[in-house]
Amino acid sequence: MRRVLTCLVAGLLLLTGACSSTTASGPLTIDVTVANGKVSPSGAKYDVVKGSTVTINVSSDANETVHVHGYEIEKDVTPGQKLVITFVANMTGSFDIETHVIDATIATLNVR
Amino acid sequence: MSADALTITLLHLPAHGIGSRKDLPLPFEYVVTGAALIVAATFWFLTRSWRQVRLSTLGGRALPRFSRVLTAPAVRLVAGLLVIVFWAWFTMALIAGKDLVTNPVFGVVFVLLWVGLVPIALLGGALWRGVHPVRTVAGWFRPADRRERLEGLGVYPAALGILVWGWFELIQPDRATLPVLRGFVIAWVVLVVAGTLRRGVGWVGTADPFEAYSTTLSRLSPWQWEDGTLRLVSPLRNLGSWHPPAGTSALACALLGTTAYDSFSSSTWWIRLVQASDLPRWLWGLVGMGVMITIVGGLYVAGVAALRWGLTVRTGLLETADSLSIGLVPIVSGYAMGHYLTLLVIEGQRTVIQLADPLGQGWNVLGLAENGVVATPLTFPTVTALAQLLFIVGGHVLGVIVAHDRAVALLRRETMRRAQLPLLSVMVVYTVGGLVLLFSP
Repeated sequence: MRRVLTCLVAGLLLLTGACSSTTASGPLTIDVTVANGKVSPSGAKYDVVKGSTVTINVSSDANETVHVHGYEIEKDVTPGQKLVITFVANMTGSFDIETHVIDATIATLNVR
Repeated sequence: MSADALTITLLHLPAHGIGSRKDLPLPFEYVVTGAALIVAATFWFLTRSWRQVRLSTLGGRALPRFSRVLTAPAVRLVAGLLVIVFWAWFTMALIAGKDLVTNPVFGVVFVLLWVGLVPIALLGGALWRGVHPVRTVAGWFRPADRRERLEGLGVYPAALGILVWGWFELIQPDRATLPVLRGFVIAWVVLVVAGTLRRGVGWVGTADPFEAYSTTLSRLSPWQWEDGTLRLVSPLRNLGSWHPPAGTSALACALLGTTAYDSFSSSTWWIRLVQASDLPRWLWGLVGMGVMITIVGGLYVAGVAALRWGLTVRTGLLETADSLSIGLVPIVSGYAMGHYLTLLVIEGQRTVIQLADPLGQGWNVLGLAENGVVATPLTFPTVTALAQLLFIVGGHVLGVIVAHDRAVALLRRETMRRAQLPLLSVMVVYTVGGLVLLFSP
């Protein structure tokens, strides 16, 4: 049993080394499309370093509202128009970016 | 303004959900380290642990003078009046308040009540039972009836209540609107009051999911009443000497399953699946929660079933499951604290501030409205992540210790260690699963 245990712990530690995630520094741009009641990206996760500039480009085939939680940015977009939201991610935490008409989660922004 | 000293103010938000700034996902290194610790500690403990029951008696120190103060009629009356004033304040906001996210009723129910009851039970014991609004009023009319719960039904109705609450809290799309919350509160009042009128206050302990949850967790606190006297005891002995009512394992599995679903439903994989589908979201929610609860419950029953061949006295499957469910209590506590502590600290402050102005008329009762939310836990993500890890791993270790002690009491000596192995493995799966879900892939 002890041997099994040692192997397991060693395996897990190796996995740690292999999988340590890196956080992208520098600006982040997210291109968002809303079409036929579906969002793209859908439920994505983005990691940024605190202080990074985040730009969200939105185009939609229907009237839509985009909401960045926590930073409390809420803007409307109409069909044919291009909405650009830019902000500096200066609070750490995990923030959802959502649409409020079709009520979908575009992405979660992790600011570290 | 420096972001680290910031206070968040919410002004023009539509009413949709509680908590806009959340904990960062647990770093992957923490998940792996935590998992390794859990596996190593569990099996090391199993090979080295004691072979005589150690935690079957309450022990501790009796506190007769403190008990007399707590049970004095004047103290009970003042506590009862404070409780009634608080819930009357809540009811006023519920009936006459505005349907905005700034109405404190949402925070009171989803944060102060549901999440707050965990640390209150762990630090303060069965306080919730002592200040339960229905028990308080019932006590004025029938002071002789002090039953903790009804015989026979155990806490099965409360376990069912946790499932309904899980649906309401996590799936019902309009839960953060006033009419829907009113409906839920009315349903709760009818359930608890009507049952109490028919069966006495024992019904509250049997059927109120909040009280049953709180009373269960209070067994991990350093306080316990015995023969009318409060004792200061070791939390491990408090839990280890407990013989839980029927249905406690169902209650614990319902709690673990709904919390697991809460995390699972924010994974990229699940959100993509649900948002790409044309089926309604509530249906996916019900399926997802059902699957999570089935996995949690199924694993537990399998672990207990695999242990039964070693029993000294052959008892029923559910009876054995409930007896061993004391081992789930610390895991449930660790899960709840790890998942929701930041929410409680941040949104709890916001709720207290909002309580100054229940009707949205610009009131500032007790000067509460002048305060801002201090977001310190979110500005030190490493400390928060370490605390989460500590709660989950610590809960697991305590759970393994009390489950082992109970297993020693139930199992034949020669089969003791092997018979426990499947159940301990199930506990490892729960805890590692909880860590992976906090990593939120």
